[in-house]
Amino acid sequence: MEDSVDVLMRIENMTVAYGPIVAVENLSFDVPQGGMVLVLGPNGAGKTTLVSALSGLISSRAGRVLLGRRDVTRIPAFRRVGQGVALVPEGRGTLPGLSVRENLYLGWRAAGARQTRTFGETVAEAVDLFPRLGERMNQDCQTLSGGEMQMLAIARALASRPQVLLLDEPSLGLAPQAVARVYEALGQLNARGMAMVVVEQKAVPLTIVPSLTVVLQRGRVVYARGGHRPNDGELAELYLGGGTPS
Amino acid sequence: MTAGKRLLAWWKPILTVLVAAAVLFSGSSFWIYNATIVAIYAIAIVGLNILVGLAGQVSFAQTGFMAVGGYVLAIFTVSFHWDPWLALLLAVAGAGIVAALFGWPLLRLRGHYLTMATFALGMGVYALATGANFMGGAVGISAIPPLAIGPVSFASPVPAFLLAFGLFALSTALFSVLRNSPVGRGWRALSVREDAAASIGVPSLRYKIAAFALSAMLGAVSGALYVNFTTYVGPDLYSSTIIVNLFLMLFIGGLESPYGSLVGAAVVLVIPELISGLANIEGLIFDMVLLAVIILRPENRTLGRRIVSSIRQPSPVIGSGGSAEAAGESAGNERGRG
Repeated sequence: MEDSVDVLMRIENMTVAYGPIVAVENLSFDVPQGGMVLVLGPNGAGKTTLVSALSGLISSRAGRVLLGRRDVTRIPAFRRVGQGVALVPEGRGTLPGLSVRENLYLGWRAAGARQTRTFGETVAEAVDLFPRLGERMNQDCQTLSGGEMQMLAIARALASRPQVLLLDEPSLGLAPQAVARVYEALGQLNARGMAMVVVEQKAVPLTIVPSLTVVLQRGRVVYARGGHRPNDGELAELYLGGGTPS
Repeated sequence: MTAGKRLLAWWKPILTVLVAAAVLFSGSSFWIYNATIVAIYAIAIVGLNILVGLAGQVSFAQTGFMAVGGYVLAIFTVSFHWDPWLALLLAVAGAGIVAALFGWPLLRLRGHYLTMATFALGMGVYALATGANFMGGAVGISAIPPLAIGPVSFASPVPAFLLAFGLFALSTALFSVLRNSPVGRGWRALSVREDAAASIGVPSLRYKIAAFALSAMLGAVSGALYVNFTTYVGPDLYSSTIIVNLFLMLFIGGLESPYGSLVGAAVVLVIPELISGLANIEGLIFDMVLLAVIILRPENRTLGRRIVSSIRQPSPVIGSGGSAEAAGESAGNERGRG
Protein backbone atom coordinates (compact mmCIF):
# COMPACT_ATOMS: atom_id res chain seq x y z
CA MET A 1 0.00 0.00 0.00
CA GLU A 2 1.40 3.40 -0.94
CA ASP A 3 1.73 6.09 1.66
CA SER A 4 -0.56 8.97 0.92
CA VAL A 5 -1.42 12.19 2.72
CA ASP A 6 -5.04 11.59 1.70
CA VAL A 7 -5.30 8.52 3.91
CA LEU A 8 -6.68 9.39 7.35
CA MET A 9 -6.91 5.89 8.80
CA ARG A 10 -5.15 2.81 7.53
CA ILE A 11 -5.99 -0.72 8.59
CA GLU A 12 -3.19 -3.13 7.75
CA ASN A 13 -3.61 -6.91 7.82
CA MET A 14 -5.83 -6.81 10.87
CA THR A 15 -6.75 -10.10 12.51
CA VAL A 16 -8.97 -10.21 15.58
CA ALA A 17 -9.79 -13.41 17.43
CA TYR A 18 -11.67 -14.52 20.50
CA GLY A 19 -9.57 -17.43 21.69
CA PRO A 20 -9.52 -19.94 18.84
CA ILE A 21 -12.34 -18.20 16.95
CA VAL A 22 -11.07 -15.79 14.32
CA ALA A 23 -13.65 -13.03 13.93
CA VAL A 24 -11.78 -10.81 11.46
CA GLU A 25 -8.99 -12.16 9.29
CA ASN A 26 -6.24 -10.26 7.57
CA LEU A 27 -8.32 -7.21 6.81
CA SER A 28 -6.83 -4.15 5.10
CA PHE A 29 -8.38 -0.95 3.85
CA ASP A 30 -7.87 2.81 3.94
CA VAL A 31 -10.24 5.49 5.14
CA PRO A 32 -9.52 8.56 3.04
CA GLN A 33 -9.63 12.12 4.42
CA GLY A 34 -13.29 13.14 4.33
CA GLY A 35 -14.27 9.78 2.93
CA MET A 36 -16.82 7.20 3.94
CA VAL A 37 -16.16 3.49 4.15
CA LEU A 38 -19.30 1.37 4.25
CA VAL A 39 -18.81 -2.09 5.76
CA LEU A 40 -21.65 -4.51 5.14
CA GLY A 41 -22.15 -8.07 6.23
CA PRO A 42 -24.63 -10.53 7.71
CA ASN A 43 -24.79 -11.54 11.37
CA GLY A 44 -21.49 -12.98 12.56
CA ALA A 45 -19.51 -11.43 9.70
CA GLY A 46 -17.21 -9.60 12.12
CA LYS A 47 -18.56 -6.08 11.65
CA THR A 48 -18.88 -5.14 15.33
CA THR A 49 -15.54 -6.80 16.03
CA LEU A 50 -13.99 -4.64 13.33
CA VAL A 51 -15.28 -1.31 14.70
CA SER A 52 -14.49 -2.43 18.25
CA ALA A 53 -10.90 -3.07 17.20
CA LEU A 54 -10.72 0.23 15.29
CA SER A 55 -11.98 2.10 18.35
CA GLY A 56 -9.62 0.23 20.70
CA LEU A 57 -12.31 -1.57 22.68
CA ILE A 58 -10.72 -4.90 21.83
CA SER A 59 -7.16 -5.74 20.85
CA SER A 60 -6.25 -7.13 17.49
CA ARG A 61 -4.17 -10.31 17.33
CA ALA A 62 -2.21 -9.10 14.33
CA GLY A 63 -1.95 -6.09 12.05
CA ARG A 64 -1.91 -2.34 12.62
CA VAL A 65 -4.24 0.62 12.77
CA LEU A 66 -2.66 3.90 11.68
CA LEU A 67 -4.27 7.27 12.28
CA GLY A 68 -2.47 9.52 9.88
CA ARG A 69 1.11 8.31 10.31
CA ARG A 70 0.63 7.38 13.94
CA ASP A 71 0.28 3.75 15.01
CA VAL A 72 -2.68 3.63 17.42
CA THR A 73 -3.03 -0.17 17.49
CA ARG A 74 -2.15 -0.53 21.16
CA ILE A 75 -3.85 2.62 22.38
CA PRO A 76 -6.93 1.72 24.50
CA ALA A 77 -10.38 3.02 23.59
CA PHE A 78 -10.61 5.67 26.30
CA ARG A 79 -7.37 7.27 25.01
CA ARG A 80 -8.08 6.68 21.32
CA VAL A 81 -11.15 8.93 21.51
CA GLY A 82 -8.83 11.73 22.61
CA GLN A 83 -6.72 11.05 19.51
CA GLY A 84 -9.72 11.62 17.27
CA VAL A 85 -11.38 8.22 16.88
CA ALA A 86 -15.00 8.37 18.05
CA LEU A 87 -17.32 5.40 18.21
CA VAL A 88 -21.11 5.39 18.01
CA PRO A 89 -21.68 1.94 19.49
CA GLU A 90 -24.29 -0.58 18.44
CA GLY A 91 -27.55 0.06 20.27
CA ARG A 92 -26.65 3.76 20.59
CA GLY A 93 -24.94 3.59 24.01
CA THR A 94 -26.68 6.70 25.29
CA LEU A 95 -26.59 6.84 29.06
CA PRO A 96 -29.96 6.65 30.80
CA GLY A 97 -30.26 8.74 33.92
CA LEU A 98 -28.22 11.45 32.21
CA SER A 99 -29.83 14.28 30.30
CA VAL A 100 -29.15 14.99 26.64
CA ARG A 101 -26.93 17.88 27.73
CA GLU A 102 -24.96 15.65 30.14
CA ASN A 103 -24.44 13.05 27.41
CA LEU A 104 -23.10 15.78 25.13
CA TYR A 105 -20.90 17.06 27.93
CA LEU A 106 -19.28 13.64 28.34
CA GLY A 107 -18.50 13.59 24.63
CA TRP A 108 -17.19 17.17 24.73
CA ARG A 109 -14.94 16.37 27.68
CA ALA A 110 -13.56 13.24 26.03
CA ALA A 111 -11.68 15.36 23.48
CA GLY A 112 -9.31 16.49 26.24
CA ALA A 113 -6.58 18.81 25.01
CA ARG A 114 -7.80 18.46 21.40
CA GLN A 115 -11.04 20.27 22.23
CA THR A 116 -11.23 23.52 20.33
CA ARG A 117 -14.84 24.52 21.01
CA THR A 118 -16.60 25.68 24.14
CA PHE A 119 -19.33 23.39 25.42
CA GLY A 120 -21.92 25.99 24.41
CA GLU A 121 -20.63 25.95 20.83
CA THR A 122 -20.71 22.16 20.84
CA VAL A 123 -24.33 22.13 21.99
CA ALA A 124 -25.21 24.68 19.29
CA GLU A 125 -23.56 22.49 16.64
CA ALA A 126 -25.49 19.45 17.84
CA VAL A 127 -28.76 21.35 17.69
CA ASP A 128 -27.87 22.69 14.25
CA LEU A 129 -27.39 19.14 12.97
CA PHE A 130 -30.27 17.63 14.94
CA PRO A 131 -32.83 20.34 15.84
CA ARG A 132 -34.92 17.77 17.75
CA LEU A 133 -32.16 17.49 20.36
CA GLY A 134 -32.58 21.20 21.13
CA GLU A 135 -36.14 20.52 22.31
CA ARG A 136 -34.96 17.62 24.48
CA MET A 137 -31.78 19.11 25.94
CA ASN A 138 -32.71 18.76 29.62
CA GLN A 139 -34.64 15.52 29.29
CA ASP A 140 -33.36 12.20 30.56
CA CYS A 141 -32.12 10.54 27.40
CA GLN A 142 -34.03 7.33 28.12
CA THR A 143 -37.23 9.26 27.39
CA LEU A 144 -36.09 9.87 23.79
CA SER A 145 -37.34 7.90 20.81
CA GLY A 146 -34.96 5.45 19.14
CA GLY A 147 -34.20 7.91 16.35
CA GLU A 148 -33.52 10.73 18.79
CA MET A 149 -31.24 8.47 20.82
CA GLN A 150 -29.27 7.67 17.68
CA MET A 151 -29.03 11.39 16.91
CA LEU A 152 -27.75 11.97 20.44
CA ALA A 153 -25.22 9.15 20.14
CA ILE A 154 -23.88 10.70 16.93
CA ALA A 155 -23.90 14.23 18.38
CA ARG A 156 -22.06 12.97 21.48
CA ALA A 157 -19.41 11.31 19.34
CA LEU A 158 -19.05 14.51 17.28
CA ALA A 159 -18.67 16.54 20.48
CA SER A 160 -15.32 14.81 20.99
CA ARG A 161 -13.99 16.51 17.81
CA PRO A 162 -13.19 13.26 15.99
CA GLN A 163 -11.08 12.93 12.90
CA VAL A 164 -12.91 9.76 12.06
CA LEU A 165 -16.34 8.62 13.17
CA LEU A 166 -17.05 4.90 13.59
CA LEU A 167 -20.72 3.95 13.48
CA ASP A 168 -21.88 0.45 14.39
CA GLU A 169 -25.25 -0.25 12.75
CA PRO A 170 -26.79 3.20 13.19
CA SER A 171 -29.99 2.01 11.52
CA LEU A 172 -30.52 -0.87 13.95
CA GLY A 173 -34.05 -0.92 15.39
CA LEU A 174 -35.08 2.37 13.80
CA ALA A 175 -38.16 3.15 11.73
CA PRO A 176 -37.44 3.88 8.04
CA GLN A 177 -38.08 7.62 8.49
CA ALA A 178 -35.64 7.79 11.38
CA VAL A 179 -33.05 5.84 9.38
CA ALA A 180 -33.46 8.32 6.52
CA ARG A 181 -33.01 11.27 8.90
CA VAL A 182 -29.91 9.74 10.46
CA TYR A 183 -28.34 9.02 7.06
CA GLU A 184 -29.25 12.48 5.79
CA ALA A 185 -27.27 13.90 8.73
CA LEU A 186 -24.37 11.52 8.07
CA GLY A 187 -24.40 12.67 4.45
CA GLN A 188 -24.22 16.31 5.59
CA LEU A 189 -21.34 15.52 7.93
CA ASN A 190 -19.46 13.67 5.24
CA ALA A 191 -20.02 16.53 2.82
CA ARG A 192 -18.40 18.83 5.41
CA GLY A 193 -15.34 16.57 5.41
CA MET A 194 -15.98 14.18 8.30
CA ALA A 195 -14.38 10.81 7.60
CA MET A 196 -16.40 7.82 8.74
CA VAL A 197 -16.59 4.08 8.82
CA VAL A 198 -20.19 2.90 8.81
CA VAL A 199 -21.06 -0.71 9.57
CA GLU A 200 -24.44 -2.02 8.52
CA GLN A 201 -26.16 -5.32 7.98
CA LYS A 202 -28.36 -4.26 5.10
CA ALA A 203 -28.45 -1.65 2.37
CA VAL A 204 -29.13 1.82 3.78
CA PRO A 205 -30.48 5.04 2.25
CA LEU A 206 -27.13 6.76 1.66
CA THR A 207 -27.34 10.22 0.18
CA ILE A 208 -23.74 9.90 -1.00
CA VAL A 209 -21.69 7.23 -2.72
CA PRO A 210 -19.14 5.74 -0.29
CA SER A 211 -15.45 6.04 -1.04
CA LEU A 212 -15.21 2.31 -0.44
CA THR A 213 -17.74 -0.43 0.19
CA VAL A 214 -16.50 -3.58 1.90
CA VAL A 215 -18.61 -6.69 2.35
CA LEU A 216 -17.53 -9.10 5.09
CA GLN A 217 -18.45 -12.74 5.26
CA ARG A 218 -17.21 -14.76 8.25
CA GLY A 219 -14.48 -12.23 8.97
CA ARG A 220 -13.15 -12.08 5.42
CA VAL A 221 -13.58 -9.53 2.68
CA VAL A 222 -15.71 -10.94 -0.11
CA TYR A 223 -16.28 -7.64 -1.87
CA ALA A 224 -14.41 -4.34 -1.90
CA ARG A 225 -15.06 -1.63 -4.41
CA GLY A 226 -14.71 2.14 -4.46
CA GLY A 227 -17.30 4.60 -5.72
CA HIS A 228 -20.11 2.07 -5.70
CA ARG A 229 -22.32 0.26 -3.26
CA PRO A 230 -24.03 -3.03 -3.85
CA ASN A 231 -27.80 -2.93 -4.09
CA ASP A 232 -30.12 -5.28 -2.17
CA GLY A 233 -29.93 -7.95 -4.89
CA GLU A 234 -26.15 -7.93 -4.99
CA LEU A 235 -26.00 -8.04 -1.22
CA ALA A 236 -28.31 -11.04 -1.10
CA GLU A 237 -26.08 -12.81 -3.57
CA LEU A 238 -22.96 -11.96 -1.53
CA TYR A 239 -24.53 -12.92 1.80
CA LEU A 240 -25.94 -16.19 0.54
CA GLY A 241 -23.32 -17.24 -1.96
CA GLY A 242 -20.22 -15.55 -0.60
CA GLY A 243 -18.97 -14.81 -4.09
CA THR A 244 -18.49 -11.69 -6.16
CA PRO A 245 -21.71 -10.37 -7.65
CA SER A 246 -21.98 -10.26 -11.40
CA MET B 1 -36.06 28.81 42.78
CA THR B 2 -38.67 29.87 45.31
CA ALA B 3 -38.17 29.29 49.04
CA GLY B 4 -40.81 26.55 48.96
CA LYS B 5 -39.11 24.72 46.11
CA ARG B 6 -35.73 25.10 47.80
CA LEU B 7 -37.17 23.60 50.95
CA LEU B 8 -38.67 20.75 48.93
CA ALA B 9 -35.29 20.03 47.33
CA TRP B 10 -33.80 19.67 50.82
CA TRP B 11 -36.60 17.57 52.28
CA LYS B 12 -34.50 14.44 52.72
CA PRO B 13 -31.69 16.01 54.80
CA ILE B 14 -34.22 18.10 56.73
CA LEU B 15 -36.32 15.02 57.53
CA THR B 16 -33.19 13.09 58.51
CA VAL B 17 -32.12 15.86 60.91
CA LEU B 18 -35.63 16.11 62.38
CA VAL B 19 -35.91 12.35 62.93
CA ALA B 20 -32.39 12.19 64.39
CA ALA B 21 -33.17 15.12 66.71
CA ALA B 22 -36.43 13.47 67.80
CA VAL B 23 -34.57 10.26 68.62
CA LEU B 24 -31.86 12.13 70.49
CA PHE B 25 -34.23 14.27 72.54
CA SER B 26 -36.52 11.33 73.29
CA GLY B 27 -33.81 10.17 75.66
CA SER B 28 -34.73 6.56 74.92
CA SER B 29 -31.64 4.40 75.17
CA PHE B 30 -33.31 1.80 72.91
CA TRP B 31 -33.86 4.28 70.08
CA ILE B 32 -30.52 6.05 70.50
CA TYR B 33 -28.66 2.73 70.43
CA ASN B 34 -30.54 1.44 67.39
CA ALA B 35 -30.34 4.74 65.52
CA THR B 36 -26.58 4.75 66.08
CA ILE B 37 -26.25 1.23 64.67
CA VAL B 38 -28.48 2.21 61.73
CA ALA B 39 -26.35 5.28 60.95
CA ILE B 40 -23.15 3.19 61.21
CA TYR B 41 -24.47 0.59 58.76
CA ALA B 42 -25.84 3.35 56.51
CA ILE B 43 -22.27 4.60 56.00
CA ALA B 44 -21.29 1.18 54.63
CA ILE B 45 -24.39 1.22 52.42
CA VAL B 46 -23.50 4.67 51.04
CA GLY B 47 -20.13 3.15 50.13
CA LEU B 48 -21.80 0.18 48.52
CA ASN B 49 -24.08 2.60 46.71
CA ILE B 50 -21.08 4.33 45.14
CA LEU B 51 -19.90 0.99 43.77
CA VAL B 52 -23.23 -0.60 42.88
CA GLY B 53 -25.54 2.38 42.39
CA LEU B 54 -23.14 4.73 40.60
CA ALA B 55 -20.49 2.52 39.03
CA GLY B 56 -22.74 -0.51 38.46
CA GLN B 57 -20.30 -3.06 39.89
CA VAL B 58 -21.81 -5.68 42.18
CA SER B 59 -19.43 -6.54 45.00
CA PHE B 60 -20.05 -8.88 47.93
CA ALA B 61 -16.77 -7.88 49.55
CA GLN B 62 -18.11 -4.95 51.58
CA THR B 63 -18.22 -6.96 54.81
CA GLY B 64 -14.56 -7.81 54.19
CA PHE B 65 -13.71 -4.11 54.20
CA MET B 66 -15.88 -3.49 57.25
CA ALA B 67 -13.79 -6.23 58.86
CA VAL B 68 -10.56 -4.48 57.83
CA GLY B 69 -11.87 -1.33 59.54
CA GLY B 70 -12.95 -3.15 62.66
CA TYR B 71 -9.93 -5.40 63.06
CA VAL B 72 -7.31 -2.74 62.27
CA LEU B 73 -8.86 -0.47 64.91
CA ALA B 74 -9.01 -3.33 67.41
CA ILE B 75 -5.55 -4.81 66.82
CA PHE B 76 -3.68 -1.51 66.68
CA THR B 77 -5.33 -0.12 69.80
CA VAL B 78 -5.31 -3.32 71.88
CA SER B 79 -2.05 -4.96 70.78
CA PHE B 80 0.03 -1.93 69.78
CA HIS B 81 -1.63 0.69 72.01
CA TRP B 82 -2.10 3.17 69.17
CA ASP B 83 -4.30 6.18 69.59
CA PRO B 84 -7.77 5.06 68.34
CA TRP B 85 -8.05 8.03 65.98
CA LEU B 86 -4.73 7.12 64.38
CA ALA B 87 -5.84 3.48 64.15
CA LEU B 88 -9.08 4.65 62.50
CA LEU B 89 -7.11 6.58 59.87
CA LEU B 90 -4.90 3.55 59.25
CA ALA B 91 -7.98 1.32 58.97
CA VAL B 92 -9.59 3.55 56.36
CA ALA B 93 -6.39 4.01 54.36
CA GLY B 94 -5.61 0.29 54.65
CA ALA B 95 -9.03 -0.69 53.35
CA GLY B 96 -8.58 1.65 50.37
CA ILE B 97 -5.16 0.17 49.58
CA VAL B 98 -6.35 -3.43 49.98
CA ALA B 99 -9.35 -2.68 47.75
CA ALA B 100 -7.14 -1.11 45.08
CA LEU B 101 -4.73 -4.07 45.15
CA PHE B 102 -7.49 -6.69 44.92
CA GLY B 103 -9.57 -4.54 42.60
CA TRP B 104 -6.81 -4.42 39.98
CA PRO B 105 -7.31 -8.08 38.98
CA LEU B 106 -10.90 -8.60 40.23
CA LEU B 107 -12.51 -5.67 38.48
CA ARG B 108 -11.47 -6.99 35.10
CA LEU B 109 -14.15 -9.61 35.68
CA ARG B 110 -17.75 -8.85 34.79
CA GLY B 111 -21.23 -9.87 35.88
CA HIS B 112 -21.52 -13.09 37.89
CA TYR B 113 -17.77 -13.68 37.77
CA LEU B 114 -17.12 -10.39 39.57
CA THR B 115 -19.87 -11.15 42.08
CA MET B 116 -18.42 -14.57 42.86
CA ALA B 117 -14.86 -13.27 43.10
CA THR B 118 -15.82 -10.48 45.51
CA PHE B 119 -17.92 -12.94 47.53
CA ALA B 120 -14.80 -15.11 47.82
CA LEU B 121 -12.83 -12.06 48.97
CA GLY B 122 -15.43 -11.24 51.63
CA MET B 123 -15.55 -14.84 52.80
CA GLY B 124 -11.75 -15.05 52.71
CA VAL B 125 -11.53 -12.21 55.23
CA TYR B 126 -14.19 -13.97 57.36
CA ALA B 127 -12.18 -17.22 57.24
CA LEU B 128 -8.98 -15.37 58.12
CA ALA B 129 -10.69 -13.67 61.07
CA THR B 130 -12.03 -16.99 62.31
CA GLY B 131 -8.72 -18.80 62.05
CA ALA B 132 -6.03 -16.25 62.84
CA ASN B 133 -4.89 -16.06 66.47
CA PHE B 134 -3.71 -12.45 66.21
CA MET B 135 -7.28 -11.54 65.22
CA GLY B 136 -8.73 -13.27 68.23
CA GLY B 137 -10.01 -16.30 66.32
CA ALA B 138 -13.70 -17.19 66.65
CA VAL B 139 -13.88 -15.41 70.02
CA GLY B 140 -12.77 -12.07 68.60
CA ILE B 141 -11.27 -9.15 70.51
CA SER B 142 -13.04 -7.38 73.37
CA ALA B 143 -12.48 -4.28 75.50
CA ILE B 144 -11.29 -2.17 72.60
CA PRO B 145 -10.31 1.35 73.67
CA PRO B 146 -12.88 3.77 72.27
CA LEU B 147 -12.38 6.91 70.20
CA ALA B 148 -12.35 9.86 72.56
CA ILE B 149 -11.76 13.58 72.75
CA GLY B 150 -10.58 14.43 76.25
CA PRO B 151 -13.13 13.02 78.69
CA VAL B 152 -15.77 12.43 75.96
CA SER B 153 -15.83 8.79 74.90
CA PHE B 154 -17.47 8.03 71.56
CA ALA B 155 -18.52 4.61 72.83
CA SER B 156 -21.08 6.38 75.05
CA PRO B 157 -24.56 6.51 73.53
CA VAL B 158 -24.99 10.21 72.76
CA PRO B 159 -21.45 10.99 71.51
CA ALA B 160 -21.52 7.75 69.46
CA PHE B 161 -24.88 8.79 68.02
CA LEU B 162 -23.55 12.22 67.06
CA LEU B 163 -20.35 10.79 65.59
CA ALA B 164 -22.25 8.19 63.56
CA PHE B 165 -24.74 10.71 62.16
CA GLY B 166 -21.98 13.26 61.55
CA LEU B 167 -19.96 10.78 59.52
CA PHE B 168 -23.12 9.60 57.74
CA ALA B 169 -23.80 13.23 56.75
CA LEU B 170 -20.23 13.55 55.47
CA SER B 171 -20.48 10.33 53.46
CA THR B 172 -23.80 11.49 52.01
CA ALA B 173 -22.29 14.84 51.04
CA LEU B 174 -19.36 13.00 49.44
CA PHE B 175 -21.77 10.80 47.50
CA SER B 176 -23.75 13.81 46.24
CA VAL B 177 -20.63 15.74 45.22
CA LEU B 178 -19.18 12.72 43.45
CA ARG B 179 -22.45 11.83 41.75
CA ASN B 180 -22.51 15.14 39.89
CA SER B 181 -18.77 15.35 39.27
CA PRO B 182 -17.06 14.27 36.03
CA VAL B 183 -15.96 11.10 37.84
CA GLY B 184 -19.54 10.41 38.91
CA ARG B 185 -20.78 10.86 35.36
CA GLY B 186 -18.05 8.49 34.22
CA TRP B 187 -19.19 5.92 36.80
CA ARG B 188 -22.78 6.26 35.68
CA ALA B 189 -21.63 5.85 32.08
CA LEU B 190 -19.74 2.64 32.75
CA SER B 191 -22.60 1.31 34.87
CA VAL B 192 -24.75 1.40 31.76
CA ARG B 193 -22.29 0.19 29.14
CA GLU B 194 -18.58 -0.16 29.43
CA ASP B 195 -18.00 0.12 25.70
CA ALA B 196 -20.03 3.32 25.52
CA ALA B 197 -18.13 4.69 28.53
CA ALA B 198 -14.78 3.85 26.95
CA SER B 199 -15.89 5.48 23.72
CA ILE B 200 -16.35 8.77 25.57
CA GLY B 201 -12.93 8.57 27.16
CA VAL B 202 -13.76 6.92 30.48
CA PRO B 203 -10.90 4.63 31.60
CA SER B 204 -13.18 1.86 32.88
CA LEU B 205 -10.75 -0.13 35.02
CA ARG B 206 -9.31 2.93 36.73
CA TYR B 207 -12.76 4.32 37.48
CA LYS B 208 -13.95 0.96 38.79
CA ILE B 209 -10.92 0.66 41.08
CA ALA B 210 -11.56 4.19 42.38
CA ALA B 211 -15.19 3.30 43.16
CA PHE B 212 -14.14 0.01 44.77
CA ALA B 213 -11.52 1.71 46.95
CA LEU B 214 -13.82 4.54 48.00
CA SER B 215 -16.60 2.08 48.77
CA ALA B 216 -14.16 0.00 50.82
CA MET B 217 -12.98 3.07 52.74
CA LEU B 218 -16.55 3.93 53.74
CA GLY B 219 -17.03 0.26 54.65
CA ALA B 220 -13.96 0.51 56.87
CA VAL B 221 -15.29 3.69 58.55
CA SER B 222 -18.51 1.83 59.25
CA GLY B 223 -16.70 -1.27 60.53
CA ALA B 224 -14.43 0.77 62.77
CA LEU B 225 -17.31 2.84 64.19
CA TYR B 226 -19.26 -0.31 65.00
CA VAL B 227 -16.31 -1.82 66.81
CA ASN B 228 -15.70 1.47 68.62
CA PHE B 229 -19.33 1.63 69.73
CA THR B 230 -19.64 -1.99 70.88
CA THR B 231 -15.94 -2.30 71.94
CA TYR B 232 -15.94 -5.79 70.41
CA VAL B 233 -14.88 -7.30 67.09
CA GLY B 234 -15.36 -10.89 65.98
CA PRO B 235 -15.91 -12.85 62.76
CA ASP B 236 -19.66 -13.16 63.42
CA LEU B 237 -19.98 -9.47 62.48
CA TYR B 238 -18.87 -10.23 58.91
CA SER B 239 -20.61 -13.50 58.01
CA SER B 240 -22.42 -14.24 54.75
CA THR B 241 -25.73 -13.30 56.46
CA ILE B 242 -24.40 -9.78 56.96
CA ILE B 243 -23.47 -9.56 53.26
CA VAL B 244 -27.03 -10.48 52.30
CA ASN B 245 -28.38 -7.97 54.81
CA LEU B 246 -26.21 -5.21 53.35
CA PHE B 247 -27.72 -5.81 49.91
CA LEU B 248 -31.18 -5.94 51.42
CA MET B 249 -30.52 -2.52 52.98
CA LEU B 250 -29.19 -1.24 49.67
CA PHE B 251 -32.16 -2.37 47.60
CA ILE B 252 -34.75 -1.28 50.17
CA GLY B 253 -33.13 2.14 50.37
CA GLY B 254 -32.72 2.35 46.63
CA LEU B 255 -29.76 2.58 44.31
CA GLU B 256 -28.22 6.03 43.96
CA SER B 257 -30.07 7.15 47.10
CA PRO B 258 -27.74 7.92 50.01
CA TYR B 259 -30.60 8.87 52.35
CA GLY B 260 -32.32 5.65 51.35
CA SER B 261 -29.34 3.87 52.93
CA LEU B 262 -30.61 5.05 56.29
CA VAL B 263 -34.12 3.79 55.52
CA GLY B 264 -32.79 0.43 54.28
CA ALA B 265 -30.63 -0.04 57.37
CA ALA B 266 -33.52 0.97 59.64
CA VAL B 267 -35.91 -1.53 58.03
CA VAL B 268 -33.45 -4.43 58.21
CA LEU B 269 -32.02 -3.68 61.66
CA VAL B 270 -34.82 -2.10 63.68
CA ILE B 271 -37.96 -3.93 62.55
CA PRO B 272 -36.68 -7.32 63.80
CA GLU B 273 -35.97 -5.63 67.15
CA LEU B 274 -39.50 -4.22 67.32
CA ILE B 275 -41.20 -7.52 66.53
CA SER B 276 -38.81 -9.78 68.41
CA GLY B 277 -41.47 -10.58 71.02
CA LEU B 278 -43.83 -12.08 68.46
CA ALA B 279 -42.14 -15.49 68.64
CA ASN B 280 -43.20 -17.71 65.72
CA ILE B 281 -44.62 -15.09 63.38
CA GLU B 282 -41.65 -12.73 63.64
CA GLY B 283 -40.10 -13.99 60.40
CA LEU B 284 -43.42 -13.86 58.56
CA ILE B 285 -44.10 -10.24 59.56
CA PHE B 286 -40.57 -9.17 58.65
CA ASP B 287 -40.85 -10.83 55.22
CA MET B 288 -44.21 -9.14 54.60
CA VAL B 289 -42.77 -5.74 55.54
CA LEU B 290 -39.85 -6.35 53.19
CA LEU B 291 -42.14 -7.36 50.35
CA ALA B 292 -44.34 -4.30 50.90
CA VAL B 293 -41.34 -1.94 50.95
CA ILE B 294 -39.90 -3.47 47.79
CA ILE B 295 -43.24 -3.35 45.93
CA LEU B 296 -43.98 0.22 47.05
CA ARG B 297 -40.63 1.58 45.91
CA PRO B 298 -41.25 3.98 42.99
CA GLU B 299 -39.33 1.89 40.46
CA ASN B 300 -41.34 -1.20 41.47
CA ARG B 301 -44.81 0.31 41.49
CA THR B 302 -45.66 -1.28 38.15
CA LEU B 303 -44.91 -4.66 39.70
CA GLY B 304 -47.07 -3.71 42.69
CA ARG B 305 -49.99 -2.71 40.45
CA ARG B 306 -49.67 -5.97 38.52
CA ILE B 307 -49.76 -8.03 41.72
CA VAL B 308 -52.78 -6.11 43.04
CA SER B 309 -54.65 -6.37 39.71
CA SER B 310 -53.87 -10.09 39.45
CA ILE B 311 -55.36 -10.56 42.95
CA ARG B 312 -58.49 -8.60 41.98
CA GLN B 313 -59.04 -10.44 38.67
CA PRO B 314 -60.50 -13.94 38.98
CA SER B 315 -58.26 -16.62 37.51
CA PRO B 316 -59.45 -18.18 34.24
CA VAL B 317 -61.04 -21.58 34.79
CA ILE B 318 -58.98 -24.26 33.10
CA GLY B 319 -60.96 -26.26 30.59
CA SER B 320 -63.98 -23.96 30.48
CA GLY B 321 -65.16 -22.71 27.12
CA GLY B 322 -63.58 -19.50 25.90
CA SER B 323 -60.86 -19.50 28.54
CA ALA B 324 -58.08 -19.25 26.00
CA GLU B 325 -59.71 -16.19 24.50
CA ALA B 326 -60.13 -14.64 27.92
CA ALA B 327 -56.56 -15.44 28.79
CA GLY B 328 -55.42 -13.84 25.55
CA GLU B 329 -57.35 -10.67 26.34
CA SER B 330 -55.95 -10.66 29.82
CA ALA B 331 -52.43 -10.96 28.50
CA GLY B 332 -53.13 -8.14 26.09
CA ASN B 333 -54.40 -5.93 28.89
CA GLU B 334 -51.36 -6.78 30.94
CA ARG B 335 -49.08 -5.73 28.13
CA GLY B 336 -51.06 -2.55 27.78
CA ARG B 337 -50.56 -1.71 31.41
CA GLY B 338 -46.88 -2.53 31.32
